[in-house]
Order: sequence, then C-alpha cells, then structure tokens
Amino acid sequence: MQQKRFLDTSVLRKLLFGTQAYRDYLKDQFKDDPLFISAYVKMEFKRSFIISLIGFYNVLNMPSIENTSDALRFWSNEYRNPYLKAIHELISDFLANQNLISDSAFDKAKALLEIGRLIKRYMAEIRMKFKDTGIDSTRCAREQVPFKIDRYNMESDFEKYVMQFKDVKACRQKCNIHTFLDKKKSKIETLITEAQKLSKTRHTKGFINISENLNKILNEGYSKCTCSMCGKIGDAVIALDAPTNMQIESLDHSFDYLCPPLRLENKKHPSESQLHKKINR
Amino acid sequence: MGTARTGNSINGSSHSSINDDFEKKADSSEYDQFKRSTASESTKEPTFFNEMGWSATGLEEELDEMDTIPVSQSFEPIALPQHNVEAQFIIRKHISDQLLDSLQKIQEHIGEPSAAIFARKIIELILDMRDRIPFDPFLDVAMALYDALAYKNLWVKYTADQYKVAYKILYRLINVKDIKDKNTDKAILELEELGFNVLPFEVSIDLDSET
Repeated sequence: MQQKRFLDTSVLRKLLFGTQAYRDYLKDQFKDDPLFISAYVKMEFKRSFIISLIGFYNVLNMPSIENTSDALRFWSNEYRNPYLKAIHELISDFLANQNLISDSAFDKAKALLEIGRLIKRYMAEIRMKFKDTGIDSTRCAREQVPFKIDRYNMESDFEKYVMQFKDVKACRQKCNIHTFLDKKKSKIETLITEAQKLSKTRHTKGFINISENLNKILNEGYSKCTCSMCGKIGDAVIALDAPTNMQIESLDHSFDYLCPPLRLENKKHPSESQLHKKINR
Repeated sequence: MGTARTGNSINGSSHSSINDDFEKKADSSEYDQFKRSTASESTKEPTFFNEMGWSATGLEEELDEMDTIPVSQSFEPIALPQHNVEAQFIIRKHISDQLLDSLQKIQEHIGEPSAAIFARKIIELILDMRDRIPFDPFLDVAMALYDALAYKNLWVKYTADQYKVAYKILYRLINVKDIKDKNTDKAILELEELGFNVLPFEVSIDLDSET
C-alpha cells in the first residue's frame, strides 16, 4: 500500500539539489509513493533558495562584474551564510557544466540567460512535480506573488518578482496567519507546554526556540506575527497545517517534538554527513 | 566618457616616456628653454575657461584622479544575438535536424564506447544552438536535456528507450513556431519523469541539521 508523504522544506531541498547519494537514498525511501508539498513549503523554498539564486543573477548582472569568475569570487568573499554558500556551490556546478566559468564578457551574457532558465526550471519543478496538499490555511501572500519571466526582460521581471516577494508589509496585510494561529491556539498551547518540559540541547534547541516565539505571539497578539516572525515559527506552521493522513518527511530535529503532541506521523531523515558516514561504514 | 578616461591614461603615460627620451637626448639648456616657452604659452593663451572666468585647475585635478579609475569600470554589457520568430525557427530547424539524427543514432550504440560519438554531437549541437538562438524557447527544453547528459557524463547511464522518448519530446516541439512556456515546462517534466536528471546540480553543505 502506498504511503502519502508530506515533504518538509528540508527534504524538498534535498530532492532538488542534494548530493546524488542523498537523492538516491530518498528515492529508495519513497519508492513510488505520492509526494505532497503545501503552499507554505513552496514559499519557504522560494524564500531560501529562489530569491538567493536571483540574488546571484543580480550580482553577475552588475556592470562592475565583468565575468562569471569575478561573480563567483565576489559571492564567495562577501556571503558567508550557509544558504548563500550553498548557492555558490550550486551555481559553480551549473556554470562549470555549461562551460561558462571564464573571464569572457560574452560568457557572462550567456550565463545570465542560462541562470534565468535554471531558475525557471526550479520554479516549474516545484509547481508541477509534486502534488499539492490542497491545504493553505495561512494563505501566505508571498507564495502567491506571480512569477512571470520573459526571456528578453529577465532583469526587470526578476526585479519585479523580488520586490513583490520582499514587500513583507503588503504581503502580511493580505495573509491569514493571525486567523490560522487563532484557530490552532489550543494546539499551540500544548506545544508550548511540551517545550517547557525540555532542557535545551543541540536537538531540542530548534523546537524550544519555536515554542518561545509562539509564546511571544500568543502574549503580544496574533497581529504581531510579522513575516520575519513567521519565518521563525515556520516548522510549527508546517506541522499545524499538515494533512493528518500523511507522514511528514523532514531532516529537522524540531519535527521530532512538534509531531507527537499533534498526533502526526513523522519520518526523520539523516543529515547529509550522517548519511555519508553510514554509507562509508 | 569611459573611453576618454582610458585615453587620458594612455596619453599620460606615453607623454611621460617621450619627455624622458627628450630629457636624455636634448641639451639641458635647450630643454629648459622649451619647458619655459610651453609654460608661458599655456598661461598667456586665452582659453575657453579663462574667457568664461572659470578655473581649469580643478578640472585638471579631477581628470588626473580619473586616470586612476580602472579600465574595467567602462565595461559595456555584451548583447546576445536576437532574431525574429521566423529566423529563429529556421535556425532551430536547421540545427535540430542534426540533433534528432544524433538522438536516433545513439540508440543503436548504447552500451558501447561508440555512443560517445553521438553523445558529443548532441551536446555540441545544443551548445551551438545556445550560441546562435539564445532566446529560443525551444532551448529551455534542449538545455534541460543538455544538463541531464553533460553533467558528470550522465549520457552513458541512459537507455535506448529513454533516448527514443527524448527524441519524440523534442520532435513534437521543433515544428512549433511560437512555443509557450507551458509547453516547455511540460516537456522538461516529461524528460524528468522519463528518468533524465534535468536538475543534476549538487550541494553538499548540510543546511538542515540546526533546527
């Protein structure tokens, strides 16, 4: 019998740009089971990955950056955040495959177009490859920002998309997070109580931080839940909005503590390094 | 403006080397006389700036500073070739005929080193297409196939049946003049469902073990 699997953002990322060994591991785990993602998971993927890829496009597009080698060097020197380092690794891999890492200004022009194509390919992938849970209780407006990219106007179309996606004030006014949190108030209180029983360790840290932020929102009012705050409680939003007939697939420790009180099935997958240690044993 | 700055820099350096030669060769008294005469000319001669009551001194300093600006700042972006739909279609058809031919021939050589001949042709033809008609929507699909084949020599992993269906997917689009995004997205997804790794790029950094 097939198991319906609901993918957290961490697993979605591994499926789309994890190492081949990790993707093989996930394929082996999932077999032919239907894979679901929600609108909120799509938004998290866009926020952490697509926006950063467009960021690289913009850096490469700078008149002072003459070629792709300069852009990669600049990115590596300026951005140390792990997510942005990941973009460097991915783009290097991509440009090397297309023979576009060079000192040539002509290759820069080609690379800009091809990076644009790659971004469109990732966006189509999350839109078409996975089934939608059909549950979108938060009605996140950032997820609903239209993504229309014309090959001849990539620069301005990407700019328009990023500006709309980053306009958190306008997006927050349109979304439904306050109503969602209000409806889930008793479940949120349960999560907070569970977190208070735990001591902070490397494994519990993520869940405790989420519950502290949930507590802050309950005390200060749902309207205080900004897009930035929503990002800090993301795993809880995903768990609270998860279909109860599906198993949550995740790499994050926080789901080990979020799922049992919410009576959700959870499959925790190893990190990339844990998997490699296991393979090499 | 950028060219003028670069020009200044080049002229400046060439002037100084001419002056060096002149100083070495010429008699010192003649050279002193020459320097005095040119200096007096430049102060006496009415210039546009002097007539307008402006001082050119600040401008000269500014131009000197500009000499230190690297040439790279005058970089002009290079435009890729753009064609109308008709021309794009003709070029696409021309290259695709060879592309389809190679996609067909590779099926007969799967599992043998000779398959590399056709894999190389497919890869080179797609890159040629990228250079000639970079804005053609057909390339969205062709480049997805390119990534799936060229990355770490994955072309060797695919079966004759997979190449056969890839041929059909490309053939269906080649004859469509005005390809829509929904068609290219669908074709790429079909390639992926067929087993072609259209997004093979890897990130090894562990992003998810912190929360």
